[in-house]
Amino acid sequence: MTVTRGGILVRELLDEYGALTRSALRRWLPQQQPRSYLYDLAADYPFRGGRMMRPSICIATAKIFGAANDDVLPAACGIELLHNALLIHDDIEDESQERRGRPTLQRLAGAPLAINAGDFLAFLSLRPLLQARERLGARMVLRMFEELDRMAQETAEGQALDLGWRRDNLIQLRETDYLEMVLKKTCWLATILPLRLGALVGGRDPLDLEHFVRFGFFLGAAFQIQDDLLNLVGDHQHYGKELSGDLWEGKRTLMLIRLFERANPDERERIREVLAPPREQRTSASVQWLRKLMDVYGCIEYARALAHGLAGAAVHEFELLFGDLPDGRDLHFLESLPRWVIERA
Amino acid sequence: MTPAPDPPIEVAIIGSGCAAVSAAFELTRPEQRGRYRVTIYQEGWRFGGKGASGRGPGRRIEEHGLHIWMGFYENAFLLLRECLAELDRDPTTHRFARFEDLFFPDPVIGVVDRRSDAGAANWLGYFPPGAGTPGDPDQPARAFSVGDYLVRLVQLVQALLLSAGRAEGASFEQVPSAEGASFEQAQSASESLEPGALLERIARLLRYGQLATLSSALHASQILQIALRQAGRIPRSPLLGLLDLIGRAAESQLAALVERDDELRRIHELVDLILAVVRGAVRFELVSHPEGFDAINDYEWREWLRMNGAQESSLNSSFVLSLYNLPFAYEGGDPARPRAAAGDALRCCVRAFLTYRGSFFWKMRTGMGDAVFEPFYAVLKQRGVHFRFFHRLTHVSLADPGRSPLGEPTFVESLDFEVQAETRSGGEYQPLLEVDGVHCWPSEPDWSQLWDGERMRREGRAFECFWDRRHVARRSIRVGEDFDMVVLGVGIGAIPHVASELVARDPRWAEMVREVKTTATQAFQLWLREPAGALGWPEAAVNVTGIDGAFETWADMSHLIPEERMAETPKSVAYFCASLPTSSDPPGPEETGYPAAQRERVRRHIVQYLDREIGRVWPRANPGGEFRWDLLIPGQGPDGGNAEARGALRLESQFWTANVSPSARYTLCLPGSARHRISPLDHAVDNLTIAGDWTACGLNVGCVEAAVMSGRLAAHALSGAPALSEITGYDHP
Amino acid sequence: MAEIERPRRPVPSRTGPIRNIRCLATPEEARHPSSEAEEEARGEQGEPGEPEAPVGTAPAGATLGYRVIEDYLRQGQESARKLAKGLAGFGAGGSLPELSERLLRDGLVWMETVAKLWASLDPPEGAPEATTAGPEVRVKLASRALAEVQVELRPGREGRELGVHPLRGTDPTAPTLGAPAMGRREDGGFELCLRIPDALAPGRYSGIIFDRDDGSVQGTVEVRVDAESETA
Repeated sequence: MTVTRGGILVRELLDEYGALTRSALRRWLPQQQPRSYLYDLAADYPFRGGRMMRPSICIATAKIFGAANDDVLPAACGIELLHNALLIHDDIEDESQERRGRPTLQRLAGAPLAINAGDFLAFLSLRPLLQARERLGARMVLRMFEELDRMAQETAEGQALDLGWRRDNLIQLRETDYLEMVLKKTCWLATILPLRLGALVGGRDPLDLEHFVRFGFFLGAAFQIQDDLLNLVGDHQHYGKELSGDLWEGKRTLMLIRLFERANPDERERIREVLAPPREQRTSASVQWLRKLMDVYGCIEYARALAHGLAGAAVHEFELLFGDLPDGRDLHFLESLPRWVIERA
Repeated sequence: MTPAPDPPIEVAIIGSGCAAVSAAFELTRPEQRGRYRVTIYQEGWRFGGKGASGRGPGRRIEEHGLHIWMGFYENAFLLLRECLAELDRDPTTHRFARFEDLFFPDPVIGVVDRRSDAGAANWLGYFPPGAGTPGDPDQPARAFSVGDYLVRLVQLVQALLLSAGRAEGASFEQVPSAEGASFEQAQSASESLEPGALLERIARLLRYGQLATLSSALHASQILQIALRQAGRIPRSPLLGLLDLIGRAAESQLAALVERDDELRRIHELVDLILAVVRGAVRFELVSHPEGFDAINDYEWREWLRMNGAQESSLNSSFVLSLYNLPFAYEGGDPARPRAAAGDALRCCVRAFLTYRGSFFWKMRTGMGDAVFEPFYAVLKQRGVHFRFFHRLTHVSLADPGRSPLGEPTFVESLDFEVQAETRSGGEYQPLLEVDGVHCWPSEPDWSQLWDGERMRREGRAFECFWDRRHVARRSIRVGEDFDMVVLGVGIGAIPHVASELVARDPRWAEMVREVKTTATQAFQLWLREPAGALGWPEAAVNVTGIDGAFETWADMSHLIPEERMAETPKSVAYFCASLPTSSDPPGPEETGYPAAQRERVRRHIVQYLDREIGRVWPRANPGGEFRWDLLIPGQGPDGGNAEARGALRLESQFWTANVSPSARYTLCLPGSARHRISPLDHAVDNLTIAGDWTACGLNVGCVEAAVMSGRLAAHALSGAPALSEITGYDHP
Repeated sequence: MAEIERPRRPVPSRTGPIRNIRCLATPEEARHPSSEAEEEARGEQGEPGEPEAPVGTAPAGATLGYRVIEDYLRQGQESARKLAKGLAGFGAGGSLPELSERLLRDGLVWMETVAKLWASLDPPEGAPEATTAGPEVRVKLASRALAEVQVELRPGREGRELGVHPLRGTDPTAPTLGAPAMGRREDGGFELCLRIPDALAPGRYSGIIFDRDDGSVQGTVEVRVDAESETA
């Protein structure tokens, strides 16, 4: 991975805005009773580390349009709380083992308490916005709730698609299906909402927001594909989840879909068999076989190329969106993100 | 809190409907510091008055009619939410602990379009959610004004015109530009505009003679809004001219489109009606009139709209007729005589349509008695209120005029009751029964608690029936000994019987009982083996009115099924209601056969309706002119019913009611009647106040909200609290 | 007869409702469509409508991505339109005061027609009339076809940064004329630079002049192409 100036800037801003958000989060996650049943659990993921890409996008966008840190931090906190809430639930739904290099919350505390902590974080995500009423005005806060509402619906629908495909063992999916699922499940919370909330805080409402959907989609989709790639080929130390975990979970990634597309009928049959039973019954041998087959059919390369194309489209949309705005750190940060999402390790 | 130093003031509250209970709730608030000790006297075995409900066989909910709350019932929701908060029940053990467990928003109303030739073309009105929840505290308190309403009505017209224009895909033609043009910005104009300049602008528009396009009509309505904000300073005639201009533009733009499209026709009707309202408000100078909407209360509602330019087709539209259905606004209960006072109707409409919070309608997840009156009963009991069930008031006695010093009002000296039953134990009657962890009012008293209860049951004692006067004792309570003050919370139908002395001595009371009228109502409930969709109703569960037949209103109440435990679980539950035409006054208590005869009459109405008219909404329910009686779940009648009953006999296993008792009749607001209402604040009798939706309570329409406002006013009359400014909607045009 | 000692009711301060507050309340929530038009103006800086998909050798990912996102956005618009059409009574979702705002946000042509109407009215009597004419606007026009340009600008905008929205014809789906550039001159006036494409269909195109600072609408630009074939 070549180190670019853009890449360095992205790192810097992620660190800076990440720290800003984290310290703001402390206000919403006090150490009070019941600690071991709730508050410590809720605080686990948020403070376990993480890229903080979502709140950073939000803060940077707001600042591009002239807002101050304090204006946008409530939104950034809300997003990060909600993101972590969904991580908790995702881990349970996906039956994942590791998160950010440590056991998942349900492995540490049991599913019931983890679910409860996740619910709590989800509702908590509204509180920073509620309390920002005076600073931002009721009207803006209401607008932001509308955005959250939209995002919540899209995310749930996307997650439903993802889980539903797995439950019904659907593998004959098209790339467009996958991208639509990613758009809903990932992009709304990861990129689109942070962009839109940032724009709202910065005073841009309402018409520009559709272009944020495009930019956010391309950026988020590239991000997700790279995530999926790292799951298969990444460096475990950096990546933080168990390798090939997605294959174990039977997650419908672009690589899996491509594999199914290219495989011959016998192989397809076998793929179906491997993925049909629940995770516990999957064998290491069958997972390895899937992985090898992906190499055979160049699924990794395919996905990588597709992610590149999406990143390029993201750059294009960035121009349309921010082209006429004056230069600045935040602007460069967003500009560098498409490249960064596909080049990161 | 330390109790007040003086001995507490004893208050006797007669009745336990919304008004009486609200008064009790206010007087016993912790803030009152125990100053008032309340005893509630109620006939029969349950709370609620016209809002009471009971549990019958299979724990089925039996109500007097359809109880739906509206999103503008600020006082009612406020009190209920406060009541629930005070009870602070544990939601993990009590399924109706919180407000959101009890009420849910119901934003859709269906209106059966009687005019459509191609069968029932149903109009579904969806009301977008309003911000907040009714009963939310307002800081600062909302100020209502006619001008504000008119501006919003004009905005509504704009929105309707736009949606019509877009629905048709109309393209907008250019308007010829006037000479000598230069630019102005409309927003700053509203602040800085002198009436003279505004008039100039309006005159210029009027000079065009006509507005060529929808867009220009919209622009003119923009000017109109600015003008309405300053209506006190703008003479009427240019405003009216502007309204005419807009009306004609809307007419010409929409008229051509309307032929083809039902939806556009409805938009056209609505625009027509709203413009008539605005025109009438301007003509009658309601914006600056000290009486607000009361100024037009001598007119009949549709008559007033007609005289302000509403077209016949709009006045006869299903939408307008529905506005009469919901409050049973039929004189004598006669569907051929829809009559409502224009001012009261207009006030109610602007509150209902423009100020609702959360949802236009709110429904309860259980019967109203259990949803509302049980929590109030529990909270009042917690606060130390005493209850005397089975006490029917017979007479209010005033003190001799000579007993009061000159210039002071007279006072109530004693109250007489018939005691319908006494408890075996001599203690207070325990009225509730427990159903799966919540407490409910039963449809019959708990005979086992009553002395001689078994015999009473066999005799069919009807404690809530005006014509069953059987009692076991009489009782009088006296001022100074048993009570200091009285809240008379009975229905107006009962006033001539219980307050004859007041009526005789005070001509205003005589006028009130003569002019403030009521109507009997009829209602029935069905438990069905099929859902509404299978019966042929195409839409989702809604509340439907405008059905052409004896029962104009139907509500799908299937959400109550989980609360009930019938032997066979129904697929749907349907409530129907309507006014019941009766001769003007119910007969005296000696006519003991009257209630049964009325009940039988309603039964015949139901059979006829189900056989012949139900097809309007359930086309598959009455093929060949006979209702499919086997749709009804059998065996739930009061005696266990006859599971083998066939045909119309199946009806016995359902529930119906003829609400003909004087106190059970629904309050009307006929033209010219509102001025005869007496306010709870009236001080003609020193230690008496009245409470009910028939009083001069600000809203003056028969509904829960009016009753609650009235109860709060009654509390204010006796104690000075709550402050009048806290009673939302009381100070209102 | 002995007077009974009994508590008295308090004397009420009034016994009826106040039915008319003396002054009319102007609710903050009521928004004029005019300010909506300003918001529309402010927001029009990004180009809505179909983006140009990358031409030539577009990476497959980008094409695929655009297909997905455009489908998705179009579906969203369609269901919003269906919702607005299918709901009788009080129009599409949203609280009533915001209803007219939302509905009025649609369509630049509509907004400009309204602006044209406003342009036909006089300024308020109290408005400052420093000079009888507004600031001078010089128009630089490059055009093959015969074109007539009309600029209306509110007085008092000297020294402000102005912009112009893309000029559109009456057909919302037809391509726009593009946005003319509006620059300031040293003498306080403005210069409008406009280029008419050769292949442009004849007709009337108009756009809004707006203040870049607060987005408020300040004037209109109207261009008639092939003016001879139109009657004024």
